[in-house]
Amino acid sequence: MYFLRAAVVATGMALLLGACAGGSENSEPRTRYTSAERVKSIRSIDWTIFQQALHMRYGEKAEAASSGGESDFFVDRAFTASYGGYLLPEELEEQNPPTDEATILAAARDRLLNAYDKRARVIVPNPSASAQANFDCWLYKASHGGSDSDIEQCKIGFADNMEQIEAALAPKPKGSIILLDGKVLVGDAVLDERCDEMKLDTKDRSNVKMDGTNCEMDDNMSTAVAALPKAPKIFTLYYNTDEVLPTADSSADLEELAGRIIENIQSRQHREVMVSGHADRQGSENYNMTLSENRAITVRDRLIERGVDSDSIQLEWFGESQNAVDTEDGVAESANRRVEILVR
Amino acid sequence: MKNTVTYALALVVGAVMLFATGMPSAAFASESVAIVKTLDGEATIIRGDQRMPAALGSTIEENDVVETSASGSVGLLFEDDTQLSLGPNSRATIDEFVYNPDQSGSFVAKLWKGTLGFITGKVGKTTPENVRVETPLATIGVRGTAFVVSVDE
Repeated sequence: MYFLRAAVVATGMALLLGACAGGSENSEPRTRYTSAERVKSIRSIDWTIFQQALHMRYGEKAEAASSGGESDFFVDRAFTASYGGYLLPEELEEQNPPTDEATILAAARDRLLNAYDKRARVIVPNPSASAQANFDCWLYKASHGGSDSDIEQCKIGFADNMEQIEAALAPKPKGSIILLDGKVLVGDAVLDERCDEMKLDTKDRSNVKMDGTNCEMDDNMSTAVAALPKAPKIFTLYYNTDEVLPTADSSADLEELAGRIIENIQSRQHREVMVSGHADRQGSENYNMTLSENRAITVRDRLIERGVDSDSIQLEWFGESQNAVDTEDGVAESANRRVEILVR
Repeated sequence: MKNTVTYALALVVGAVMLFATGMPSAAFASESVAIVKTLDGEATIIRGDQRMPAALGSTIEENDVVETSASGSVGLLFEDDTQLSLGPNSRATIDEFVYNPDQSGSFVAKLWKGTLGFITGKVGKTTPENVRVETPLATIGVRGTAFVVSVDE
């Protein structure tokens, strides 16, 4: 147990340190601290987490000190740390470490201050306080003939703390989602308005502008949306009884439908066309099988004539086995006399 | 002998019917779950140790990783008509795709970086609770939906 020169006053939220340079004469000591252990008994809810942690870490260093001078040093640091403002890691000039160690210490101190510039004391207050206490410990012991193993312990502790701090301060990936239709759940949040945007890293919500009919988005998002494949589409052609050419109100209507089918097929980069022939239940099963085959083949041939690559067309026929509308056998049903063209 | 043939035939027919109606896609390893339908620039399909340049018509299997180059984009159409695309400099994994028209299915994809466009397919309509797109930042639960999501590295 080491006795202290320090006489410290606790005044409300702030603690005045008696032993800090030039301060002891100006303070009116009311409580006298006799050991490093007393550091732990002083707390204030007004301290920031960092100040509180730093006060405690310095107190622990004072307890573990290997000399009276070192204990005093850390008790001083503990109370100065909680006095208000942010106490910085000890200046090298105050301790005068050996030259070879000084360079490393200076770099280490800069590293910590650099982390402080990135708000480490607010973002990761506990590791920041540990790093500062370990730095001061390393500096003090290196400057006052501490044992190599003691120096190493503080140095390694500092390195571990810094790793943790720097990992926490590393830039986080950013991301956002824009709803184009329907509803999505993002964690606990719900996006259900077209063009709703949410920043995935901050959960900030906003609504992007409409650009004509589309939500306004950055180039990469626009490229992704443009790369979405077209939805598959089914076209159905209907037939008069026993016919293999589809019906229409007029040949112009049929031509228009054919044009839309061809346009839909050709608008796709990669084309799959499945042509399925069907018949109703009038007539024999065998007859209807052939009829549905002929309907499908006729459609396929027309598609090829209009420039659709034959390799992209698959053909199938089902006779009267797959009715769109259920009927008794022998019943004529226009909805069942059909060819379906599935375009993917 | 005739009986044996009949039984064998029945088994084959039964197996074919089961295949056609009863089994979810995931039961079969190395089965195509999607087809590359749009492609601009370069994209790569990574399957285990294999890296294959994506081409129009390339098939995608469960657990495939799909990457695009800095100027590439790719669009996939899944068996259930789910539409998924990647913008430039993107990387995504197709972690899970189970689809059977008569049963519940599931769809899980993960976007590691880049941009991903998505339009729900049939799985998203029948079992929306099983459809999600994961990112390193948040998991997106899909509820009958079209959206685009971006993740910067």
